[in-house]
Amino acid sequence: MLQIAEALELCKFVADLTGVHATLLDLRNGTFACTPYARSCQTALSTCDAYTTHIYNAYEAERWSGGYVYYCPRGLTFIAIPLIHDRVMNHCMTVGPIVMSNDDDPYAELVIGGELLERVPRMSTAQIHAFSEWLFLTYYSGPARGGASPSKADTRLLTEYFYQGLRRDPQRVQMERQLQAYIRSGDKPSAQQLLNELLVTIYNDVNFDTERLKPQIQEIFVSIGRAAIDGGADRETIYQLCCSFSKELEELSDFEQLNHWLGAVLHQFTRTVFDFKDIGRQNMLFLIDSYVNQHLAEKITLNGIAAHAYVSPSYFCRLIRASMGCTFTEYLTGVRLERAKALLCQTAMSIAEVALSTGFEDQSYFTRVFKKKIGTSPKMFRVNSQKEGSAP
Amino acid sequence: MDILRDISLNVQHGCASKAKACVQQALEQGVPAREILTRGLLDGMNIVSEQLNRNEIFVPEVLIASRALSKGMEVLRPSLAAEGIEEKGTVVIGTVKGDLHDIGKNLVRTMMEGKDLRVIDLGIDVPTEKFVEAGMKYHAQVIACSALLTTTIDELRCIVDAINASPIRSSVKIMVGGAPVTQAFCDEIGADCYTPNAAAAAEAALLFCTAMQAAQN
Repeated sequence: MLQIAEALELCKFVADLTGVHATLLDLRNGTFACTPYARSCQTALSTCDAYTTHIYNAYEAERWSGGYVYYCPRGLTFIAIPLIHDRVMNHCMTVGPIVMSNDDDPYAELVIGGELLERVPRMSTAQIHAFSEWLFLTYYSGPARGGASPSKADTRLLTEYFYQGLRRDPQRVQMERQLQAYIRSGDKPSAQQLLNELLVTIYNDVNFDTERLKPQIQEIFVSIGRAAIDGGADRETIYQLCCSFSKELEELSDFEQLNHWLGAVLHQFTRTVFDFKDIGRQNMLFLIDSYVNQHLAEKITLNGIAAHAYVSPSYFCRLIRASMGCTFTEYLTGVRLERAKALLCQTAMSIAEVALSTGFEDQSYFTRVFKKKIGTSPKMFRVNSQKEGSAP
Repeated sequence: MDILRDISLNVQHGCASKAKACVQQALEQGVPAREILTRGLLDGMNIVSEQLNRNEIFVPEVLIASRALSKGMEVLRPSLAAEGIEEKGTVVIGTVKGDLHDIGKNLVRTMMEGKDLRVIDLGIDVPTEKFVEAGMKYHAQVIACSALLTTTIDELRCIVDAINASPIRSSVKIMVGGAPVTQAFCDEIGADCYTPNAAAAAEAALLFCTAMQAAQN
């Protein structure tokens, strides 16, 4: 839990780091614990009391368990981060004002309520979103965190991420997206080429500085890892690789050492992502098969089973088509009918019971599908199989 | 010779201190400096460059190989100077305006120097007129420009246009390179040569320099 002195220090840190004003609401005393941006403002309709405005939104933030972005009556944007101790919000960090503007025109929307706000920092919607996420991840101490504050290492890392997020150029974002697409589709040569181009960009962006390079590399691993899992690589393997790389990376302090290490782990990582992808794929097919067999009597949805296998529904469909040469529905019907055939031959269950225990809604639908796919009715199938079984 | 192979391998693996020690050892064994450079250091760098081109290795490995090469060169340089190598031509090289990437450009420079070319490196973020000025000042046979970003690739066109409008066009060849550059783009903007990798760039620059010097004589 954060002490008041520490919370005040954090406000100063946020303000120094980002140039956005940060203040602390002291809820027990019903006042600001440090100087607010303004105590009251004159709006067209009335005088707006800053504490009342911010306290209302602090409670909203607490209600939603997280970072909360809101407008004040003058149309300026603020972010509220509750600081909770023993389930009680004693303080709330209020970060703002910010002028939200997605316009490239530097003078757009700078006048609010007839006043020129040229000193108020401007951010796009995406930047404000990233900013609130960063503040939340870094400073929020509440139920989602069990009241614990993040470690200093977390704070530092998140701060780096935040800054990169603000500074990242669109071309690099595009490169990363393309790289993920190559990884998902298993295109190793293109992925390696693009990864190299991305690395060149990153090295240049951080001016070959080891400490600035490290979080960027970490992020690359996460980004590649996510795409790899989406593309069918084994989730556990990738997660463990990322964790061990992250620990090793933290230990490195020399540029030379870092490059030696990075070259080696990139080979290891790409081998795992591409060369062993089939192993992951086999595991996933096994997972799917066992899930379907266990839940055959129930309604199985595409989204449900894809979530079970930790892949997107679209990737799941591609995987089924590539591995089994049919659609998901055809595959599912096939498994249901195979089980139905076995039950018809090996048990004395009625047709209606067989239908229900293999996931068909009713007997008539089951009979229709069975006849269409197998070429005979369930009843005739049972008769014929009994005849064959009793034949000498 | 084993020692030359060792030098090459140490460059490939990015072992700077070992590469440096091996160069020293080779010199003590009386191996000519020129041979240490071409069959040792540059051989290693050539292999790295080809591997990079085939996407078999990653950029960090190229960086450590470059460092191993430059550590070896520190030891070798005095001996090379003593052997009195004749320069085969002058190349002006740089990364275009707005582009701060120099890994590839540095690799090309090293390879060109290995071909006994005098390389005037203008660095990164070089304005068009600087290429023309340096070409004139150093009587270069080749102006080599690199662009790594799709947003800066059009600078190459500006450089070609500026050289075309200058008096040096008939005495200089324009080479272009960088990730987004293609042969088609090279043809479109009217540059003289596109090469897809550092080794090919050095080879092409040497051919241009020799041909142009022969024509001048």
